[in-house]
Amino acid sequence: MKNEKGFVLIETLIAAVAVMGIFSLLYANYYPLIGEYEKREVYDDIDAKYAAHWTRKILVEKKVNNNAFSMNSCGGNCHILYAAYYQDVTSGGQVTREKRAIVENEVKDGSSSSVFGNNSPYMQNYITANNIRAIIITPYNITNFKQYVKSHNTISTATQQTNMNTHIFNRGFRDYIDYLPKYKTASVNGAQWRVFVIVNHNTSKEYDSYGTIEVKI
Amino acid sequence: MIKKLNNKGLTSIEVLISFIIVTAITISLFDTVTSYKTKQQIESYKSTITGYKNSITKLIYDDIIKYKLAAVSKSTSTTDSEKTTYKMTLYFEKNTLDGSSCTANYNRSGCYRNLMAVKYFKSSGTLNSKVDHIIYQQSGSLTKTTYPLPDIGSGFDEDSEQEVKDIRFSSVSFGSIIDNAVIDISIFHHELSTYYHIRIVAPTNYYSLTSPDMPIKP
Repeated sequence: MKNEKGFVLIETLIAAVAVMGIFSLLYANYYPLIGEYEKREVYDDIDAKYAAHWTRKILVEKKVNNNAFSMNSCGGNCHILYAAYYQDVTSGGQVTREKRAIVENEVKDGSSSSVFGNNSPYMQNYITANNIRAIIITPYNITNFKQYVKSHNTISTATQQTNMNTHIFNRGFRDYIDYLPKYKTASVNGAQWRVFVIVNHNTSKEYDSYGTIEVKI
Repeated sequence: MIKKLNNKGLTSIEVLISFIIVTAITISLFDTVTSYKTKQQIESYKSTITGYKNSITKLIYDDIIKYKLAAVSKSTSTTDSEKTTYKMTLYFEKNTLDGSSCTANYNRSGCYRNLMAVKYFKSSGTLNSKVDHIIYQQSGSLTKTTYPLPDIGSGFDEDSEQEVKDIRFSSVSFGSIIDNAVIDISIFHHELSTYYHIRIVAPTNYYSLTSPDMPIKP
């Protein structure tokens, strides 16, 4: 005979618990995405995008030495043109933090290249005025660079100092690089390179933001 | 034997238990929902401020890139009883801002824009509730466009005992650092821990290096 009893309480409870379990799983998976969004909204801002624009402009239009595009850092996957970092210096028992910088010849000044005129250190001035923390050139396809950044939090450059411990590839930058696409499809503009710029914001809460743009030379 | 149909429905104890469970769940979710509501409101404030920052930044950078920034004048500020007005003039290389021709002289008539930021301030114990704003003034026709800070509400200021706007300019800095124009306007919201900055940095004599006859900063 047909059972027309409907659900008993225990059946309803089991169904409710099952539904709650599913929602808990969804919540547990969704919640980290909010954190990811919050991180990215901070470090992917308009200031860094325009900084990348001007850096590219100076690199290309002021005809910076083509050595800038020789991948001699990051195990052959990038070229760090500029990177500011802090180093602990012990003097008389006191430990102080001093700002140092890697400055490759390509951006140091224009004295070796007439296009800069009057030895105007064009890139250097822009770096100072905009509080740039690093400028990195990579190939347009960043598959290998992503791989390198994922496994390194220190860098190695042609001008690396012996006891330097730099943290350019800090957690924020690694997150940023991780979230970027690999740019495996060739650029429609025929760009062969990318420039990454790290801008430091000295506001009430100091933070870095990151920008990238393709470069065609 | 045919089993007798159970047409009784839920007993009062079952209904009571159900109500208790639903009530417990609702109470446990109350704090979560409230916190999300607050979070959503803060995100909405942040989004509004970021939108304003982005639109002003793009507006000025568009001119700088399109019309080629040649130079900037030193900034000036004037103060009256209720506000301080900061002013900087951006001089461009190209003359298509308003159709008039650009003279490549010291004043660069026809190819400049005035950028002003108006910040109301506390005077004699009174915090002015007027809206801080940016004015972008085109050369030639001198058409002014005003970009007020977005209205995201106001609150009661105990010092001045009046309603004041929730977001204001906290500082304005126009100037140049070693051949770069630097515009920095920080936006303050009392419930957000950070300052939001409209920050524009662009080389000033960038094009004059390739065109030696261009004037450098007036």
